[in-house]
Amino acid sequence: MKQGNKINYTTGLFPGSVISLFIILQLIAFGLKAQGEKKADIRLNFELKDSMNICKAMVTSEGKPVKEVDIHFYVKRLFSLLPIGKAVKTDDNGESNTIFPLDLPGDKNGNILVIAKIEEDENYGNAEAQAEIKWGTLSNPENDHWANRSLSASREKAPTYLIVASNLIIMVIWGTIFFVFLQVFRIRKESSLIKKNK
Amino acid sequence: MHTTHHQSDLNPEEQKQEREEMRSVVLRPLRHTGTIGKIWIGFLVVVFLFGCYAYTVQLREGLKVTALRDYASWGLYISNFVFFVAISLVGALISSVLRLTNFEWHRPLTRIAEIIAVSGILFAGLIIVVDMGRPDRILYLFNHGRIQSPIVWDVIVVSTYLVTSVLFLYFPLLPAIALCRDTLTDCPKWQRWMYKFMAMGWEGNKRQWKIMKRSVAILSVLVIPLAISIHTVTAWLFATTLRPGWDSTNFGPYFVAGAFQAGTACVIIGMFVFRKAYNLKKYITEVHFNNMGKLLVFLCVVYAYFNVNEYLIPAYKMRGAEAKLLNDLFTGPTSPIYWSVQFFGMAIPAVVLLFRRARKPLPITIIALFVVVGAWFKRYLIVTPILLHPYLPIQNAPLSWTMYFPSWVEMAIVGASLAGVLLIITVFSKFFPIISIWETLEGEGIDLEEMDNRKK
Repeated sequence: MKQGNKINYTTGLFPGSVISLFIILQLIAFGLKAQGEKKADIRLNFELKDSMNICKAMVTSEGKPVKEVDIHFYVKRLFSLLPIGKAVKTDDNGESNTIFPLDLPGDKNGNILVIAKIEEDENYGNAEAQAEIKWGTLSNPENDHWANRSLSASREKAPTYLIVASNLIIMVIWGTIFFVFLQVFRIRKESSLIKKNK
Repeated sequence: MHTTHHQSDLNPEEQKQEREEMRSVVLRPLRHTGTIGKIWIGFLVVVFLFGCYAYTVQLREGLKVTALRDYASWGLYISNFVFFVAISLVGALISSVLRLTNFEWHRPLTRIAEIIAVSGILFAGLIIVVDMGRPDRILYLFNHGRIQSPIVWDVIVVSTYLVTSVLFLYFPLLPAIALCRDTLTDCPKWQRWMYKFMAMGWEGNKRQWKIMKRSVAILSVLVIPLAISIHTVTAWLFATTLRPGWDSTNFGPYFVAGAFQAGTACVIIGMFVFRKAYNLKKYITEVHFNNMGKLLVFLCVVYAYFNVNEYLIPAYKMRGAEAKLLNDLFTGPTSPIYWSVQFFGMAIPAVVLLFRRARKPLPITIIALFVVVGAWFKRYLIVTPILLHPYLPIQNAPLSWTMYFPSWVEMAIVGASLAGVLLIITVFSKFFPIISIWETLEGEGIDLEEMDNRKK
């Protein structure tokens, strides 16, 4: 019994100590990394130039422009982010420009949410800025198929032809079944055995 | 509807003897169960109970005890469901199509076909409930079900076909129930009460015969579109889903053709077993096996034709995700099952049964067994490999989820459902005659009124 306890004790200690050591090492590594990284700020500006939508991202760190950092531009869509072009490096002034398409679907007011990101940069880690701008095409919720009767709509919005056709078929078939079912009782009614018993 | 039978050459006395003999032969299994019969029923009960235990495990632990994951979300259960729906179609084929087209030889086989249909469709419905992780939510299908969804269509058709099949079994059974009520007077009280209740006061008067025959005629017509739609809707569960291998306009008729083939093979096995176990050689003759053999050849050829459309035409194009699936079936890990099913379950039976000697009772039953086993695996092939080859790979799924091998819980439950179907058929045949006496005698031209007006 004692021996069993001893074995349990050592096997319990081993993974526990390894996990603790691992966590401590991770914390040290994270601390060192955080010390080496500087914080970057992104500011977004929007310009309309020669019928082109240009998005400018200004990157600064401790008040100074940040050079040679990749900026990724995105637009928020329903489930995820849509990348706009490839990443663009900042110039000597800490500026990075990209041209936005003119036909991005926006919300009902034509707004889109633009996001600029620094992703896993050696010196600056991750940073993000977002802003809303009226660069999208108008989406008309009145024409949204969810509001209409369709095969993909909710239970209440089933197409009329489907409701009519299915109910008609169900009524004809179940009407016939019900008629046949009643015949069981007609057979019973025709019986002299039952009458005699009564 | 049933007036095309010939007049019997027997004189009234011989006809009477014929009737008495048939009654005593057909009622014998109801009076006595042999040792093999008891062992068989015991075996089925054990398998069934073990499956019930497995189901309690699944209810307690959830669907994680199955091998169903993000990829193969439909596995053994749904394959089995499709198989049961398929075999249930045979009720419509034998009892209705052959009846309406005046193939007189169908008469002693109708009840075997109908009980296969009823038990098949009953367990098809049950296995769907088993496949639901939360069976208590079944009511939601009615509360929240959308008429646009093929799943709701399936619920509607399965329940409609079940009710129709039960009625289709019950009406022609009335004279037999009355016969049991009047003859089996030494059986337990509850059984006598059951016969009395179910007979609905049947005494075989003209009016009762007329009502019964008219009801059977209505049901014979009604059951054909229902049988076709139940399996077509089952096919649409797949065909309305955008997946390689399911995205096919051929699916409805392909399923219906396969169902008739599988069901016919089931009836052949049933014929053989009942003929042997209940000593029905006089009524289920070699002629019946011969004719069923020819029917099976025809159905195998029709099914082969749909298989060519289903596999070879997409294989000619070999596009994208479909190519991966077809390669898996033709030469990949699934190919041994695929080719076994195509050859042993369809091609070889079609060829072998062309020979008269293969259509004798024993050989044709062995062939039918191959067809039924092939039919079961065919449903597995239709359901599972396709789920493992989606158009878009599923994100963040462990590698093990991209393969499927059923867990013991799934196998036990599916085993129980198969045992359950056989148990219903066996128990039914112990309480009711498995051959319709009046239909068989009517086919031989023996008078009906005299047969059933024995009380007067």
